[in-house]
Amino acid sequence: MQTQYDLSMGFHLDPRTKLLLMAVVSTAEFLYGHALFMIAVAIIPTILLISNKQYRIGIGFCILFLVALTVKEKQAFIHFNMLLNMIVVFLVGVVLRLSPTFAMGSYLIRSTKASEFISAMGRMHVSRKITIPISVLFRFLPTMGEEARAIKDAMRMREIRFGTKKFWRNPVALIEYRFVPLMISVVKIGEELSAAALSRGLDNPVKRTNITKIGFTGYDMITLSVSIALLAVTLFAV
Amino acid sequence: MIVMKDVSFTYGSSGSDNGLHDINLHIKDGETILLCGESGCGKTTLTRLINGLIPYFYEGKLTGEVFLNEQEVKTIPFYQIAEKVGSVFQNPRTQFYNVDTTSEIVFGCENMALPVEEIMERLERTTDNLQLQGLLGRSLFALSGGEKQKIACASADAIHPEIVALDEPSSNLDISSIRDLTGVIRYWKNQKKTIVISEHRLYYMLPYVDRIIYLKQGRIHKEFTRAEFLCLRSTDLKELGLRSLNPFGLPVESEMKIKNTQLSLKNFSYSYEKRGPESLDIPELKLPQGEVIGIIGNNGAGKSTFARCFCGLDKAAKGIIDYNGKQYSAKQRRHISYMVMQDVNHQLFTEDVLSEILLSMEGQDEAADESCAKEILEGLDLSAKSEIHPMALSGGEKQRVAIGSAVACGKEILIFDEPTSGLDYRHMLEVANNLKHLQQEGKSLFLITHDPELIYKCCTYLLFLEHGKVLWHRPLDKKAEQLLHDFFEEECKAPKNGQLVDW
Repeated sequence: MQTQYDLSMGFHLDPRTKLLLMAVVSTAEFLYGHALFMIAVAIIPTILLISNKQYRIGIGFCILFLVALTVKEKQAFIHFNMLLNMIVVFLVGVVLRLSPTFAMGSYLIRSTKASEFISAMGRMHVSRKITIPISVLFRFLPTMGEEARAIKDAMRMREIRFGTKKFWRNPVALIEYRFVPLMISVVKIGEELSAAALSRGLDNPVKRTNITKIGFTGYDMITLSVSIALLAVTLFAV
Repeated sequence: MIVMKDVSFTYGSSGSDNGLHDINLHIKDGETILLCGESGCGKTTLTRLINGLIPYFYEGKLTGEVFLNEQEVKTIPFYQIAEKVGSVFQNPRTQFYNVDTTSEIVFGCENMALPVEEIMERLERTTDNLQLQGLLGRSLFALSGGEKQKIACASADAIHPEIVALDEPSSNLDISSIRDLTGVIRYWKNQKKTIVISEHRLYYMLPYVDRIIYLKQGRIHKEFTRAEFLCLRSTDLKELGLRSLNPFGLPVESEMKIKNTQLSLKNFSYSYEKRGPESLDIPELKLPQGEVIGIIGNNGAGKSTFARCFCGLDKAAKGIIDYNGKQYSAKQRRHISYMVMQDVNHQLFTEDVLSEILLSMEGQDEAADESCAKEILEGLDLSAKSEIHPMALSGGEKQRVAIGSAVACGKEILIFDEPTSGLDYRHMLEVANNLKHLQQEGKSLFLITHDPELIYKCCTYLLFLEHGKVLWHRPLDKKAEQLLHDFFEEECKAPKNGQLVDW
């Protein structure tokens, strides 16, 4: 049994390592340095995403980031008109500064198990009052996605969309139609979810055990040292 | 042992309709109790009293005493009740806390802080006993409703509870998943656990229950032994508002109109790139117009893919529909077809029923629109409710509002996805009447359902899908009745995927 479950556990990181890397990656972007340094920053989430089999997001992120970086580098040589230039600068800035954080976030959410997260936070002596709501997010985000898709389908069938006569009369209504049903179902799901979790004893005050072994392994050491070395080299040597 | 003495409960927030009054109940160890009654009769509330969600989670006014093994519930902390009572809920989608199956099964044990070796041992035992080998270590989001419900049962089982409380566990399940659920209940019964289950679908539970408690308006109205209950005639059951005890052999109630108009489908195909087996491949198909066509088939046979393709909801949907001499591509089909979803809440957007209908209209001439909308509401028996917020309506009424909005859009073809899952007899009847009414209006209806009673009530034509292909389609005549009966029989008995799900 043990072995069967461990099969899925090739390369994996402790949730704390992931959080640290996330912090490092998101601060590093704001140093906004040399192109090589930025590539070094972007490599970390790309490799992690690919290690977690999130190929589409990983490759998509990589391409988007490289395109934005190229535009940024070449921008001085191209003369757009002012408005266009502003938009380009803005978009490039957003992609370069924020997309690595989102990529790391996506990796963190998809690769971490909720109970693993609770235990890891427990080791850091973070109060359960904080960890439990955060851990619900792991479960909640995909569910919200499912709900949002169903609502989108429903709207398409009713032909409630951009550009119709109805729409121009009250454009804000479109947002309302999308969010009101979503809120209603999210509240309901949240309640049922909490009821289910509590009826499995989530509020038990004893220190819970965890069948997924958490704790720092060689992988954490390797990932951390490689990431730090990568950043240090590009930051100081270039 | 569960004892309730003069228990009354009213919910704090939303009215008093689902509360309980003067409940006196004594459940012996190892007994299996079935709670039944119409929606809102308080059977769900009763299960919540047993698993501690009342008074610890749902707020309200509780009087009287509830004892679990001679200890009063109010004096036991919630997490200790959770160690004694395993719970399974109605909605498979909202009762798991983890994202992967294995973590979910052991979740309760981890919360109890059992040592890891003990948890692994329990995981192994539960996996063996509930036949879950293929389901371990998978993402819960990729499982079917039936599989999710199995995991929920496993998670309750791993706690090793003395009591299991199930709240309408079969509501969202198809026939073969209900069969698997039956297996789990049989296993728990063999383990001498006390089982309390609230249900609308009675047929699958009957062989296992010791006592049936019929609730009405929050009170225990009648109590039956199994033998007494089996003596009830179908008219008695209808009077009590209960579902049939043998839903698979009911008489067909609707007849096909003899009309020659047909709609035809050509090159209907769809394949999921990633999700694998469920795809659709229908080179040509002619179906009658203006009928209630029941789409049946196993799980994963392509029923919902068919519906989505038909409505042009998926971009990758291919094929052409010929309707009244006009050709419709996937995108154009959205103008003539409408799907009433299983969760109707997703389809209602506005603040009151009338504006919901108006939203579907062009908005050129408001006065004309409004009178037309009122006419539609009149036809659906909703005139009295036109000022009410759609979310404040009952499930059946919500569904009628959704239907009304589709009619207002001028949709000719309506597809219903599991419209009666989790409904009691009276509400199922209401849906059946809605469907018949639409048929009389000349709409073409498609019906995806696992509910045999609904099929016998209103389908006039059947379309059987298997592995994304049409196996047969014909009017619901003697021959089709036999084929349908065989299909149900097979679903009820045959083990799924060659697995032996019999303990």
